[in-house]
Amino acid sequence: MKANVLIFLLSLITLQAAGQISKEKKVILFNSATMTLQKNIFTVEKTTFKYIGKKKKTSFDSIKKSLSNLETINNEIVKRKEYNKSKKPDFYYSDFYDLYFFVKTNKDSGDLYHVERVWIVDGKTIN
Amino acid sequence: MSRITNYLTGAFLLFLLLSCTNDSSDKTGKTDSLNQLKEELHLEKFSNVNIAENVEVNWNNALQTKKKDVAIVEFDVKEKIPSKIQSSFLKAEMNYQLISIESDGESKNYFIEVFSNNDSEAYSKTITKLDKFKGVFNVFSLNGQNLGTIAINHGNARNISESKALDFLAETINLFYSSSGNTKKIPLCDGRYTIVVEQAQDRWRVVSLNGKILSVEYMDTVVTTSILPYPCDGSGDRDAIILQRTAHYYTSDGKSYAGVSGLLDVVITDPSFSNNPCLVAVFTKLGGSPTFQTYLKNFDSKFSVANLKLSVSSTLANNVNAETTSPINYLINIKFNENNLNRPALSIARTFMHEMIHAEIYRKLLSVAGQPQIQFNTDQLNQLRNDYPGLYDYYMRYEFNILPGQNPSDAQHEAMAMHYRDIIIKTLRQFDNTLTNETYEALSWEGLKNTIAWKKLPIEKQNNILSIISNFNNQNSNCQ
Repeated sequence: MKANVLIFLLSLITLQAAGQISKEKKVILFNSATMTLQKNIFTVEKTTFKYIGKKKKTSFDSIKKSLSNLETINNEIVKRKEYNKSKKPDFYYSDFYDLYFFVKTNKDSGDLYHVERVWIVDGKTIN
Repeated sequence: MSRITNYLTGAFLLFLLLSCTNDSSDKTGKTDSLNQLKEELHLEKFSNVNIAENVEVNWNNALQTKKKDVAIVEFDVKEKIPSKIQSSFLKAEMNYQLISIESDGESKNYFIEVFSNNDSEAYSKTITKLDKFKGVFNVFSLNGQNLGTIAINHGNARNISESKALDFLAETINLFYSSSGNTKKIPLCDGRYTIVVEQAQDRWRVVSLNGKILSVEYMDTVVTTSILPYPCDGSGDRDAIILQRTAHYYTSDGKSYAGVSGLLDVVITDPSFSNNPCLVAVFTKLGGSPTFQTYLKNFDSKFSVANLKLSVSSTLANNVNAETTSPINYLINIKFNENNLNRPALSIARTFMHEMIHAEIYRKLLSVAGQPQIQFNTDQLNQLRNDYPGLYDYYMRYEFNILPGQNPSDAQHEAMAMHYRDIIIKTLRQFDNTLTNETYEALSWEGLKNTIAWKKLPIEKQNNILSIISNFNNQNSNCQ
């Protein structure tokens, strides 16, 4: 009996831990009119993402369900109990989501890039 | 006789057989090494996308070099689609190479990404002929691990990342480095070489009347002793040597700034800078300021994560005194406006210190980013908060975390206005201690008038500061 309870508790802990590790997959459809991809950096307005790892040839159908956009993702983050108003939602991306960009190469498929939010200090200071 | 002929024939056949055997084992060994290299190279594991997806090794053409006990085999690596980088000081073309070095039975392999400075000759596709090359090597292991960076200056390799994994490669490159000495008559610039010139002048009093000399009387002899620089041969960068000499002999007020020369070669000086007498004189005199020295020392390549370059531009906007660029490939560039040097030397010293503070902030950010450019992911932002909480706070407040309704501002200038003006004042006082505190205080605000701290000053105080700066500029002669 005791062993059963232990096994049950262990399973519960394992399941909970697994739930914490796996993050929700969010895919942003690349739009060349409003976004840029230079070297390994995607820029959406002033928000920058660096792609990590290699791009993968992927069919559009397989990512359809995960499609989203930054506005929706930000709104979702703002509603979460872990969100602290003192920081912009993009500081929480890596806590909750695995982010991807999908760049269509033809009608039915394209390249899928796993990305992370990065903050870049570039340009120059003028005196 | 026939027996002797038989012995000779037998010996010849044995020799032939052994030679064939040795040759064949040598070839087999080489093939094995090549196959091992091919197996060890995993381009797909490189996080640098250009390497991972756009390069291929030419395995058919290996360049082999041997010196002392070191054997080097180099393979050219080509980009499938040639890429170009946009930079004002680097050549557009990049080069890649795979290098295998064997010494004392130990073999080490490297994949290098080569960036060439604009004023360098093109990369010669071998690490053994770099005497006319200036630039940097980003070095990777064959499975994509970034081992660090080696800076090359006319064949002299410096392990600027201080990564132990690069010591062997840097030492190998330096095996082929020789000083640019053209003649043995000239000593190396490893010390201060001077010649003392004595000039004696006899003075006579001549009394004459209507062109007729009445008397000639000897008065005295005046001896002038001059210490002049004796030419020495460059063991390092030509521009650094010019600056070294300038530091010793041509300071504007004639003082000697012992120890300055050691600091001058920690920066990369563009000829546009080293040929500008005003900037060189101010820089030299600033070298005598302990505060400025402290900042400059942070760029000593032995200890620094960043290199600092000083240059001059004639194309900056009229209202710009200077600009400091965020690091590209570990290099921070301070560019002075050639057309804005018609100011007193102290004002230019102020610009120097202002830009040095920018460079220092960039250096600190780069040390956290751990990359050739400043780029933070979430973990690195957390590290920035731990290592440099002040900078983290300013970048969050004014650039990264601008909340709705707030206007973006320049984090570095905001931080400087609040926390670094005392350092500027201290440096200015060390540069010239003859002025009033109000003057140093007023000058320290130059370049910071777009900040919140300035805007919060009462208007009377702002006007007073502007008036002090204006009087100072009008009452002192210009540097250029």
